[in-house]
Amino acid sequence: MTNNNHTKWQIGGKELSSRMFIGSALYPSPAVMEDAIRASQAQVVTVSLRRQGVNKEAGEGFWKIIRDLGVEVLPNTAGCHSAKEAITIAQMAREVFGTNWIKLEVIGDQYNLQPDPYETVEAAKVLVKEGFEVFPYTTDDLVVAKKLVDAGCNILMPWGSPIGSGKGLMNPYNLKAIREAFPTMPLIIDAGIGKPSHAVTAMELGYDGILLNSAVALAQDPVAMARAFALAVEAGRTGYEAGAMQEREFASPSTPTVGTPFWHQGK
Amino acid sequence: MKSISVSVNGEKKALPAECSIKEMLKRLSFHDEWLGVAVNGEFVPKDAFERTFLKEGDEVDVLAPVSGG
Repeated sequence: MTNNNHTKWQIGGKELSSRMFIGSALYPSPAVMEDAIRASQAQVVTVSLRRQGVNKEAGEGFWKIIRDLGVEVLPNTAGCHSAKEAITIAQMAREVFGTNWIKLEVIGDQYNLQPDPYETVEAAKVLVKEGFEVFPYTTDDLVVAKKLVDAGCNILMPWGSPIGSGKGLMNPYNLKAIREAFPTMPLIIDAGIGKPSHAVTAMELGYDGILLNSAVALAQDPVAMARAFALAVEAGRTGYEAGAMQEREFASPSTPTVGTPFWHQGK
Repeated sequence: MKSISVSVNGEKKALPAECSIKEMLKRLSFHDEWLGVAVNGEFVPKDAFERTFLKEGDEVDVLAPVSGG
C-alpha cells in the first residue's frame, strides 16, 4: 500500500503523510515488529531507553531495524515518576536518538498508569526551555491540557483510556472539549486504543492522529491488524474532512416519496 | 593501585581511582556508539565523558535504545 491518498500535515516541525504513530514494544518477534510497522504505514515510531544489559547484541539488533526503516523516532520517558527523572531521560534520549522530540510520560499511579499532571507540567516547562519538542502524554482533563500549553507545549497527547487497556475512548466528551479548545494544535490520542473502530472514532472527533502499540502488537495477527488500523485512520480522517451529516431524532426516508407505487389518495 | 566502588546499572563495580566515564565504558565493555550516561541521576553528555571522573559511591546509569510504546 502507498500513502498516495494521504494529505500531508505538520507536527513538531516535520511533514508527515500518515496520521498513525506506532509503538515498537510487545511484538512476538523483531521480524513481526518490522512487518507490522511497515503495514501500519506509520512514519513515527516510539522507542525508549533502558539500562544496557548483558544481551547488548539483541538491543542493537532492535535499534538497527528501526534505523533501517527510515522512520522518525519518538523517544519516550516511560517508567519515570518525577519531573527530574523525565528531564534526565529526555536529555539522554536527545543525544542517543539525535532528535529533540520527546514523548513526555510521567506516571502518577502504578495501577492505571495515569500520568501525574503536576510533574508532567513541571517537566514540560523545563524541556520546552531546553529546546525540546514535547509530546506530553496526559489525561483527557481540559485544565491540564491548558497548563501544558501554557508551559509551551505545541502538541497534546491525551489518553483514550489507560495504557494497554484497549478500552478505547472512555470519555469522548472530554476529548471533544480539548479539540474545541485547541482547534489548530496537533492533537494525538495516545493510549487505550484497542480496535480499529476506536481509531475511526478518534479521527472522526477531529484528532490529528493516534498513537498505539498494544492494539497491534498483541493482536493475533499483528501485521494484518496494523493494516486494519492504517485503513481505519484513513477512513476516520477522510470522514472527518468530508463532514458528517446532521444527526436527526427521527427517521427520514431516503428513497423519494414522489411517485410511490400503489399509493392511493385518502388512504 | 587505589580503587573506588561505583554502582553501574545497579551492580557494584571496582574501578581505578581517577577513572573517567570514557575509561569506565571501555573497562566494562560497553558499546559506546548508541548509549546515554547519567551519573547520580544527572545527564552527562558524550563530549564530557573524557573529562568527567567518577568518585566513590557514584551511581551510574548506562542506557541504550530499546522498544517502547
